[in-house]
Amino acid sequence: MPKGGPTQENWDRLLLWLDADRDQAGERYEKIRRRLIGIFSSRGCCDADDLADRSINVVLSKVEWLLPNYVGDPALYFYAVAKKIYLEDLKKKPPPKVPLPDTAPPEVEQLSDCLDDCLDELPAGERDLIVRYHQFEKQEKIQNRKRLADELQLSRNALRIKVCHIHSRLKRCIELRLGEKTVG
Amino acid sequence: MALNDHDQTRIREYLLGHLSDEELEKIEERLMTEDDLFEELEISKSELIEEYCAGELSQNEHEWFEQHYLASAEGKRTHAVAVALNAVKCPIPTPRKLTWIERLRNFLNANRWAMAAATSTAVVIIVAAVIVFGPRPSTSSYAFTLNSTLSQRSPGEVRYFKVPLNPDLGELRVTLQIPERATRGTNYRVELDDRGETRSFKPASHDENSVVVVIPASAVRENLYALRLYAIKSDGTEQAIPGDYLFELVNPARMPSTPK
Repeated sequence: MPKGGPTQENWDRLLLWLDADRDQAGERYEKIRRRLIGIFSSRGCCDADDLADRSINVVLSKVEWLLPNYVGDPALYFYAVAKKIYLEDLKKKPPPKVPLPDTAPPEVEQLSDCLDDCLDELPAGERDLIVRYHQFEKQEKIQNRKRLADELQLSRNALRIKVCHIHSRLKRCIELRLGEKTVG
Repeated sequence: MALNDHDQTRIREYLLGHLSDEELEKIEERLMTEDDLFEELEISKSELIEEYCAGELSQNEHEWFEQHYLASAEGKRTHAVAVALNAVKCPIPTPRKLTWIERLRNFLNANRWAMAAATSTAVVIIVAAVIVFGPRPSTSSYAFTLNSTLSQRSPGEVRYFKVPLNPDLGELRVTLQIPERATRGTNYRVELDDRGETRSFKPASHDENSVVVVIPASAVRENLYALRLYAIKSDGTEQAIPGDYLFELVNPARMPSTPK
């Protein structure tokens, strides 16, 4: 890759490689980046975002060749590069000693405040669903979720997906609010 | 491609470090290209965090998950949100009740300097400790949030929030959300209606948008309840906040199980 980072020309080529439609290509790019972060996070990388960006930069440096020559799903090429970046990173620095996640970090109170605000922003039905979904423990929790799925006439998997989508929105809302609090 | 149970299991195994290098690469390649599988990964991450917090993972799985996904920035964020979600919406865990001797021992261990000061002072401390830290009934608190029926989307549909009436329940800690357009008061009064009689409670706290009321378990039984909120204005007059806050105390053993 030329010094000074990826050029606009290479970005354009990359988007073209992902999809002929620029909007679709943009979405595809975001999706690939999100998945690389998801994979690096699953492997326990502290700096998953950075590793994903480094992988993308390597792909950008090769895109001129890739565009006319590569056959196959571009996402898999990104993944092949990401594996190499991961191994290089592992060689460079030994995995850090991981402090045990604190079950009651001091920020929990702040998080709880944000969570309350974000729950308030949800439509009543979704708020009720999330509150009920997280009740009980062990066997009771399983029974409770079965009941909820039945009440909502959803399969248990559809309920999990629905809750996952609400969780994602809650997480985004909380991150936004925490950011506002840090700035303010 | 539609997911099957095997895929769900595979994703769990992936996150818990049960896959060989070859299997890991295969699943990661699929994660890059299959939307449903990636969604399953996100769901499984949340579910495993729940199991991690609840101590439901085996020792090896617990350690693997902690040293991998939970070590990532994303994992830490998701874990923190899960902890907050549990702290707000789950029963507040109370420590095991200590006997008065244990309480006294703890107290004295934490205050060794006081022992050295003077025997006479120690006697006073011991007597005071017995009085202050003497045995109390074992209780747990159940916290939950209710919205007014006024703010429910379908006014025709009456829904009671189900609360398990566990034998060790000491108190209900209920947060009542004040509807957006309702009159705010300088203080509030909460009325508990069990469809037979009504009782008044003074809120434990309130802010601009909510009122927290603590109801001792001794004041309730297995039944349907409605809470009503009254805003007390600065001149001392009361104004009822429209709508009810509905909940039902249910014996956990009698909660209906789902037909298979």
